[in-house]
Amino acid sequence: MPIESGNRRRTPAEPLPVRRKTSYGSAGRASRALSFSVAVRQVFGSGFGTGFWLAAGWLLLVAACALFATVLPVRDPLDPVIVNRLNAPFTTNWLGADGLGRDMLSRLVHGARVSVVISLTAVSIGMLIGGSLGILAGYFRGRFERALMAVLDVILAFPWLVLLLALVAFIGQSLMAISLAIGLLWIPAYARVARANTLSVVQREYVLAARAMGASTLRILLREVLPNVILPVLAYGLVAMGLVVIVESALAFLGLSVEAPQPTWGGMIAEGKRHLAVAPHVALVPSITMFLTVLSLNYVGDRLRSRFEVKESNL
Amino acid sequence: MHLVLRKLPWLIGTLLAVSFFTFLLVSLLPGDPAVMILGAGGVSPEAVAALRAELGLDRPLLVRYFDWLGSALTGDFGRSPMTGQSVMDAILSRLPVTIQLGVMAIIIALLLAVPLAMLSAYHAGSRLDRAISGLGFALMSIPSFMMAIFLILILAVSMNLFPATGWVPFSVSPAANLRSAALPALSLAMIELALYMRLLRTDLISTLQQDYITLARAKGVPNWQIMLRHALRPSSFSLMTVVGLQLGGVISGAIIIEEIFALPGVGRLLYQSILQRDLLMVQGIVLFIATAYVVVNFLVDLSYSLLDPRVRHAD
Amino acid sequence: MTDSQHQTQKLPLLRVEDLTVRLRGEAGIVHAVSDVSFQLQRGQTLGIVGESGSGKSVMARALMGLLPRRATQQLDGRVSLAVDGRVLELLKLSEREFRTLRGPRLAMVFQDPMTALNPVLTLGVQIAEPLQLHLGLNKAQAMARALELLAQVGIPDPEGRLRQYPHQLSGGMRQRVVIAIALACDPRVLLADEPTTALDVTVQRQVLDLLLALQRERQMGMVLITHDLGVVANRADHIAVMYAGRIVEYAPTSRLFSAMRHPYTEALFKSVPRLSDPSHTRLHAIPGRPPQLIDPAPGCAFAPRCPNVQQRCRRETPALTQAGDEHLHACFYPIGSREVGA
Repeated sequence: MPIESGNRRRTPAEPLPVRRKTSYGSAGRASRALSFSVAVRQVFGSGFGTGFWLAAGWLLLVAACALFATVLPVRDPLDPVIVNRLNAPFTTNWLGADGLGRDMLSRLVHGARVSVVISLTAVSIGMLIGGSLGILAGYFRGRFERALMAVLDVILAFPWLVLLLALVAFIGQSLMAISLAIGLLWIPAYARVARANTLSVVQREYVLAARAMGASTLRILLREVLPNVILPVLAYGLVAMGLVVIVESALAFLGLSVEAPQPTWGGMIAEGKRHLAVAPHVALVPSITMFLTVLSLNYVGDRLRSRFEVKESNL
Repeated sequence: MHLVLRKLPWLIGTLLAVSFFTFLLVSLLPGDPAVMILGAGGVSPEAVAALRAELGLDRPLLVRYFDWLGSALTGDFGRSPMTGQSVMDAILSRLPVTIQLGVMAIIIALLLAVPLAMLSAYHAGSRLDRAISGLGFALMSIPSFMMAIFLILILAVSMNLFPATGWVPFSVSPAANLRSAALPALSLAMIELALYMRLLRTDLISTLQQDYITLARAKGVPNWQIMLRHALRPSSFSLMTVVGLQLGGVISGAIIIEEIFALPGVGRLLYQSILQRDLLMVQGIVLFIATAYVVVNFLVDLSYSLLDPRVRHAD
Repeated sequence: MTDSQHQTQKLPLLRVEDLTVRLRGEAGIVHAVSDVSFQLQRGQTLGIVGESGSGKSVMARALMGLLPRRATQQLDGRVSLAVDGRVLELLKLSEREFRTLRGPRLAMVFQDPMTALNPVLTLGVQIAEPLQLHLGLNKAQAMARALELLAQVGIPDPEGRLRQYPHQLSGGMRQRVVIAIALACDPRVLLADEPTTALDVTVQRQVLDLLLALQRERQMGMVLITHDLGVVANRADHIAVMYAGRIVEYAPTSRLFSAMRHPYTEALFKSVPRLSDPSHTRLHAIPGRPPQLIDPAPGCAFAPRCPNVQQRCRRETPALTQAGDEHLHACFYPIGSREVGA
């Protein structure tokens, strides 16, 4: 569960056959006209392949489940039907029933809600705070940058789960609290990504030119730097969401995420662990669901990331 | 040696910051330890105050920090008010399990990752490469606790090759010890394996495009010898860094894995101390882990000079 | 003259016929080398001259069997190497067979000595490696031989250098090490790919002279690849001028300089600074850029930049034709011919 590793020292030197896309940085033009047309062409250009679309489709399905959990025609996720206890999939329940006879499918659907909300919120928090800090550090350099990097190094010295457990104990176990805790965890990573990209943007001619023409700092940051940093930062977001799903489920597995009776994927896996010998499906069904979701996020994110050529080499 | 001296102030500074952060983190946790110890109901405020004074909780934060740090430097992390056990003794008695687990996991991951990455990089772009990369992608999407579930299900429940839980100390029976450590270590190793493999593959591919590899080929060096002798070492710098940085990930994983397999390690001790709000114990363990992390990464930094003569002669 | 006539009758050391290389690039198929033919005698030096991107390096790598397998779309022609009284068809060899030739039969000196040496291995290890591989020397013997080699390429204090790493040497010294590695197993053919381009001007001449001296001493056949006509002027026996993957002119050195026929050769010649020129003489730059080698247009590749271009040049590709003894050129309207007004 690599929180700190996903974003340090990785050189994106890809093998020969990989298509190199013209990067968005090809001119000052791009900074201003980072309109949708550019983004759309880069994101939805040809050559993604079926794997990409399958993964994207799965993610849409999960998102739809989360969004419409309450209106979908599934059973009550909290209703224990004792006679169905531990029933295998495709018997009384489509995906079987858990140790209390609750419907697994509906628990999955409602559990998706937790995963989706937390991953979106946590990544947004990390992106906003970490991203802003990183841009400022990369733009102003100097003492602020050094201090920030030092603080981030100290934070990274703590294993993420240790930090998370402490944060959760401090902030509580509501949906928002968990999102906030995991989001805070992401600040260092995002600060690094944003700083690295800012560093490379700031040295380009059009930013230097804007500076030389006396454009205000705020204007340069908003109009020249931000548009160029935001795409790689966003592209990194999907991979980050995959990790957040893992982190949240780890927390839930330990019983420290959103409290019962709200179903969570991690909590379902923990429950299933107790019945592993008798009814492995109770653990396997949520495990496979989560695996597919994280895999899709990683895959789609990685594809988008290679499109944007995120500058990671100098993280 | 110059290198050590030059980086020593940084090490000390980081360790101080880490210790203060640890102290802060734990001190800010909600819940009065005195109340926790005495039990919530039916305790007189006087008794609580008395215990607070006895524990030193009534003094200012900074005073308490330096007090705690002073004794921590002598190896005295205090005594757990819950069990009366010395924190240091508790950590030390459980440390061998966690170290064995972590070291085994890292070794397994490296032993598998290095040959796979070499195979993949050598045949970059081929079907084999894509298969190996796909495997890496899948492994990266499986958190260690989920891997544990899968492994228990297959290797313990179905095939009965390994025990599903429990720990046999090495001193009791080395064979049984390895058997009991196998599944936990494998669970931890898999996600690390994926990470190492990906990184090393990328670095190997860029190394293989270097002129000195072509020169080695022009000398008539066989391909396997080029991979082992000429390509692997210059490609392993970021791998080393990441193995060090990933220690945080391994420790985080160990917390969950030790809990799943009921192993008497430091991770499980930390988890249970958090549940019981045994703050002194939590403080001690967190400081211990963070210190270990910083020191190990410091050593990794230094060991660069062993691998890279350019660093060695930088002075 | 009689000497060279006598030699052409002998079996050439290296004979290249219609060598064609196409590589898969990011933007399409690169026609890197097209129908290149030449031969090289023992003890002779062939200079191959052309701008960067003219296919010289790809050709050298093809001769060494070092083209990236995956990126090679087409590799045609015949390359015959005469060693030990038999003739080997290099392009038909398996990778394993080819490997045994690299080092003892064919060797190569690379362009950039800063990147051609492995940063994490000592010089001794890197020089000794081919000796152990091909000549079966043990480590001590190989190191002793490496010491001799370092001394031969003019490195002071060779003893101490053996245990040093590449970054501890200057560029010129590193290139000497690269040469020592190439010469380690006493190759019959030495390919030197821009061996001095990355070096300081003052060091260039030293390294070139060293190469030439070693070549004469060992009677190797040498292919000296460069973009600088001046480099090969006094050093090569024959010169082949390459443009866009083809040889456009081939002649004995003295003849090429006295009677060059191809406009491109002339343009190259004019772009070389000469000491005899009065100072501040404007250097002649070749207008335009070297052509794209992806989907080359029909016609002479040099046509867009050629001062003497005619309609026919844009339609047909001129073949390499004989223009006197040992002098070949690929031009419809060569310099000095009637069609072009003098």
